[in-house]
Amino acid sequence: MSHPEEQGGSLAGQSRHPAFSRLLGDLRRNPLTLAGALIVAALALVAVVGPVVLTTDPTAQDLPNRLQPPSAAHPLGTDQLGRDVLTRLVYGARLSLGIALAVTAIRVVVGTTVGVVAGYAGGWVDEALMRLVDVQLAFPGLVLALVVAGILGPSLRNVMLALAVVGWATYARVVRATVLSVSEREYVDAARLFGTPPRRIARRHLLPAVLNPVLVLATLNLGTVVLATAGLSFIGLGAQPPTPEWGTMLAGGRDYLRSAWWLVNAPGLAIVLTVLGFNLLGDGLRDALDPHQQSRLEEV
Amino acid sequence: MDPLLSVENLHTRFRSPDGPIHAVDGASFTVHEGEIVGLVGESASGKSVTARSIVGLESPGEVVEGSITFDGTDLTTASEATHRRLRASEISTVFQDPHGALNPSFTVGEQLSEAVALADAPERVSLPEFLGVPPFRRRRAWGEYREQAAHLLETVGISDAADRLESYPHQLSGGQRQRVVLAMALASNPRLLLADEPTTALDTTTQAQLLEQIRGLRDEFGTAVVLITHDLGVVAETCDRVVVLYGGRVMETGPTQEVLADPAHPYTRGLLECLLGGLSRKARPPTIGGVVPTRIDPDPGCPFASRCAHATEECRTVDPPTVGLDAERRVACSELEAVQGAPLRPDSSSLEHTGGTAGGSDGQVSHGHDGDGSGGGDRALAFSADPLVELEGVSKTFEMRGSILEQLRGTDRSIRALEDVSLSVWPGETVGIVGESGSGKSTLARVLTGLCEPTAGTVRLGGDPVGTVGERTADQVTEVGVVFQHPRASINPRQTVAQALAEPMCERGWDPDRRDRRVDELLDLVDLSSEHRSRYPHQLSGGQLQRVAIARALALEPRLLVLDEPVSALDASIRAKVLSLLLDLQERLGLAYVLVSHDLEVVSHVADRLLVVYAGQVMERGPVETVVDRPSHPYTQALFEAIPALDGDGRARGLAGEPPSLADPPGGCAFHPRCPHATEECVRTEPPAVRVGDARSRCHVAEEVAAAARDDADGDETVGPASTTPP
Amino acid sequence: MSGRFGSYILYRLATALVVLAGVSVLTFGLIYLTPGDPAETILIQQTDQHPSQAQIDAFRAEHGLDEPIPIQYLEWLSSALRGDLGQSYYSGRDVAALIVQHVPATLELAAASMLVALAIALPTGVLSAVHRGERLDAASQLAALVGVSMPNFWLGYLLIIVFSLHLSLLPVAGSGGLSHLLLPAVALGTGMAAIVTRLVRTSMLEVLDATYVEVARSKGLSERVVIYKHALRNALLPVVTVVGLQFGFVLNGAVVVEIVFQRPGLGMLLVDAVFARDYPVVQGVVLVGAVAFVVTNVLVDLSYRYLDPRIRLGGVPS
Repeated sequence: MSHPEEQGGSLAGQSRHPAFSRLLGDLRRNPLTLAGALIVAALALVAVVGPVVLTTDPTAQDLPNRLQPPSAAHPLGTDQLGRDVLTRLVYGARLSLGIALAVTAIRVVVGTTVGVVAGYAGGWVDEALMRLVDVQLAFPGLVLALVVAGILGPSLRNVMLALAVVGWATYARVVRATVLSVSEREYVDAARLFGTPPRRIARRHLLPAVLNPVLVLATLNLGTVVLATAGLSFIGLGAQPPTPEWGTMLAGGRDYLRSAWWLVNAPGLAIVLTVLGFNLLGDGLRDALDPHQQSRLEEV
Repeated sequence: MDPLLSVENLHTRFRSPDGPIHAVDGASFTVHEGEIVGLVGESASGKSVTARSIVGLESPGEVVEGSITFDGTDLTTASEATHRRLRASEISTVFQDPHGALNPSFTVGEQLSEAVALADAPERVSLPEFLGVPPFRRRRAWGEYREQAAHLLETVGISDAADRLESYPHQLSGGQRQRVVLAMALASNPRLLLADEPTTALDTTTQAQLLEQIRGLRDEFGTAVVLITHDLGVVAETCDRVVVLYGGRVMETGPTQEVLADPAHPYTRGLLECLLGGLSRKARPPTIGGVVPTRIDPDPGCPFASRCAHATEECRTVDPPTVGLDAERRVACSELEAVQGAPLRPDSSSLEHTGGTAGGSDGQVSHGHDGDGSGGGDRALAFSADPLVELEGVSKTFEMRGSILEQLRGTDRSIRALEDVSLSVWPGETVGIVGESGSGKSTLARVLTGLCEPTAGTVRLGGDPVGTVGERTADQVTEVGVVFQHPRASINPRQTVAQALAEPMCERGWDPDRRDRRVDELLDLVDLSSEHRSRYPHQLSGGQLQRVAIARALALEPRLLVLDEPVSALDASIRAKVLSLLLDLQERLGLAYVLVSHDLEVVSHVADRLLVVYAGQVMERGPVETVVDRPSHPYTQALFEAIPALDGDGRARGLAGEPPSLADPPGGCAFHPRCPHATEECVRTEPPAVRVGDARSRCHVAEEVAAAARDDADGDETVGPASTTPP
Repeated sequence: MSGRFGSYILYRLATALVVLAGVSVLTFGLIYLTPGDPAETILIQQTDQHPSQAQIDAFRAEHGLDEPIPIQYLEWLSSALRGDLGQSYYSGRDVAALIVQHVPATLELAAASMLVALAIALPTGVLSAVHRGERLDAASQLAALVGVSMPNFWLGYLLIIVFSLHLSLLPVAGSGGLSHLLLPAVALGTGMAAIVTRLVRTSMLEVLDATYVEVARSKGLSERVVIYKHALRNALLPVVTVVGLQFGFVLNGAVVVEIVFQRPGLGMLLVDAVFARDYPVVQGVVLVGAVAFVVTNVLVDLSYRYLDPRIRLGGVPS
């Protein structure tokens, strides 16, 4: 070859997918991201394995042993009906994570579809979809979710529905913006020039570009959904007693702030840890995938 | 006399995950009062970091060794306060990027006044005063600062200075902004001006003016200037002495004329050789192999050894000594004798790239000198066939979508990017399209390729009218390949080289085996090897990527390549390599090119015919020899005159004024506000395209202009870049 | 102010009207989410027994529920436009009056929490960016993340436990006076502070990398002037937007915080109405909230554009 000396131009010897190698490097370098990943992994483990190990019924009342402070038998004490707080927390983890995953999945699918269609179709389709997004975003999210869940009737299923309904618009906006900016790249022009039809351009160039921001947004969103679910349950619209849900547990501790501090603080801490885990991970992903994207946490 | 600035064995390093980067690695040079010193080198040679180290703005880098002495003060050990005082009153800096250099939130007047205030009373001014909090800002003093600011604007050639003080940066053109930055640098009447690629982002016509101003500054005030540039033409035009940097070290230094006339270091020689000036048309410039390596924890030895034809084992292991050739010239090379024995620009290197067709088997044989435009054999072939592509009366107007209200009132603006442009391209020929930024040349390329729909007129491919690319048949799409300016933007960062190359073939439904074979063929065609197949774009250099982009454009064997500024983003040595490749490919494959560029030197080297575009109109067109030797439009003439030449020494002339607003183009001839020959008639009526020899020119006084150019050429043989002789 | 900016205002108002029309449809349509017949559901809830058909018909006639839905909507909308949001199903009180009565408590809370948020966020964000990568930066970033992750109802309880129950410094709940405002404002403001801190930091980092900041330094300006004049002004532009949006979102947090601290604001009014299926009140509060939000949005957008000379004055297209 006549240009063997140009090897100097490439820093990395072997080829790896660029985002992936950066991601690994970033995970190695950033202890906070690693902490986030560990928290999330531990939570997932608790949610899956916990209820198998802790076979006590989280709803079984034991009135003689009510409001016991933390002890060997009850590491996090018991509540006003004598139920073991740790057991309830563990079962609650399964609920919270399950709901967060389900809600986020619906939001991702609906929002991404709307965003890609709007960004790619343009014209009146774009205009109409974006006004719809505007209308949805015009309502403070939690308020709308609260009203929808309230009118549908208090239950976890309705909370999930309500949260899914109010959260897709953010994805639609982000995805549309990404699609628009990628469509202007020269490599998309190049693809058009060798006759690639729009559908294939969308699949080959736009969707992969959209995946990164959606992944970041979804990770951060898992945290906000956990917060919102707990909030709605706290108000009384979500899980109904005796379901072991973190928000409901917190609400139940309201009357015992002075005498049984663990009742509000155990679920409170669980929520913070969970949300923090998702936020740390999401931040790390964002920095690794796109250092320039603005750090902005989305509201519910 | 002691030098004003003396840099001694300077080492500046940056931390990186892979180890410290030795950005500046032992550079030494001096600058005397009233002297313009050029720091030259390719990108990443350490030029900018050197300048930043001088003013103490090298952060996040760090000066780890060496000394910088300014007027007796060692700056490497000076306190931050000392640095600040010097920046305020003695050393000014002009950065490259005119778009980002001014704060978008403050008026030009405010930003200039700040600089004046600092020069006036560097110790007294406080934060509240700068924030303009009423009781703290001395109103009378700031009034005076503003007057001085206006005066500064006039000094740098901004006419309506008082009005411009009220402007925000975004309301100015790039050239005006760079003048404001220069004015800001002059506020303190500095003794040393560091100008970091001050004209790189500007059109050549504006560049020539700005360089003239920098020279004037030195003449008038005796300001010392360090001019950082990658462009040897700019050095030749402007600098008294030149310092050639590579790998953060000084390779060679000496008086400009001597160094350029008789370069001693292989790197300097390489830089000079790969320039187009002095080569006959279509000759392949020799190139420097390889790219500037990233200097992470470098081994001892000459940094250039890996790219040097004369390198010995010793060069790779031992730092070369710096040898004084005479009182002023020094060279860091241990193989000087061998280097000086070799002829500059050896013929062999241009021969190496040719071959294939008979048309240009020797780089020295040019394609058609003088004559009626059908000189070369290629051209005869060209006119015998039907045109590949034709544009007929094409216009393009962009609607600036205003608000609904504006649309209703009909007051939303439209921008005229192209007006009534016709063009035919025959097989095998190269049509060059030149113009300043915003002239509409890129829109022309986009209309031709079908990325953009013309507002009026017809595009024909092989005789058939065609629409945008989505409406063209597979065969029509196959006819045209496109190469864009920025290789990094034109290849999806998530695709490997093989995937990117195979993409067009997938669209044609080729089976994997056939795609594989073609990918290998293509890589071979552009001098890459099959080991590049699995690389991602971030693992390739800019030059390699541009070759991948060219290969992809060739994937379906088009007959026409549209090249939109294909070499503008590349370093000189890489540029030469890509141009040679393009010339070779054309010969081997019989391709036709439409080459769009702002760089007249590149276009006139490669093209057979030229179109000069201004404000969306074709001002002049004709065979390249005619247009180069006898330009018949004042704009074409201005473009040629603005090119800095190696033997120029201040000969390049600028063009006053700014390109017109395309939303509101001037009446009559679009060029009249800037034209030295403009008459009453030019203001009133738009000139028709008139025939001057075998060129056509849209000018009322075309004949006179061409005649004057002819006289000029007779008196002085060096008109235009193609005839500037190298030393 | 150029004509372009003037006509942008008109354009922005026009799209806001479109959105508001959508908002009104959605708000009105909310009650049809009720499983089954709204009238029947409401009557069951009110009387705790199955109503007769006659009772249902009477209820429908009284509240205009017997007309075709589009007519109902138009009547509801035209009343709403005149400031008449109907009567509560329970107390029979005028909904508009109810809302007016509850607004001050929420507004106070919103303003106070915003103050808390800005007081924390601006200095922290700026310092964090200026000391990028140092210990201070890492600490404030982590603190901000914890702040973002904190459910404000739990934070409210923590504050009550510490300041009301153990230290007995401030009242547990209720409204009236600064002492009642302090804890809720902190509970609500902390989360916002965290969000704004992160934004100020990012925005500031971006600006500190700009060439004009380097140019300002190369002029010889002191670091303080460079940061507080040249960088901050530009860094705050995007912050204005987000702070404005946060103000619109205050109702979100207010719902929960008002319950924790038993503050009689819009949030409590809404939650009580939701549980009681008092639809006119629900619709009223949601409509007012959404309208307030859309209006703040428009104002924020316009002020952002006004503050940025690039947009206010237009310019040569580059």
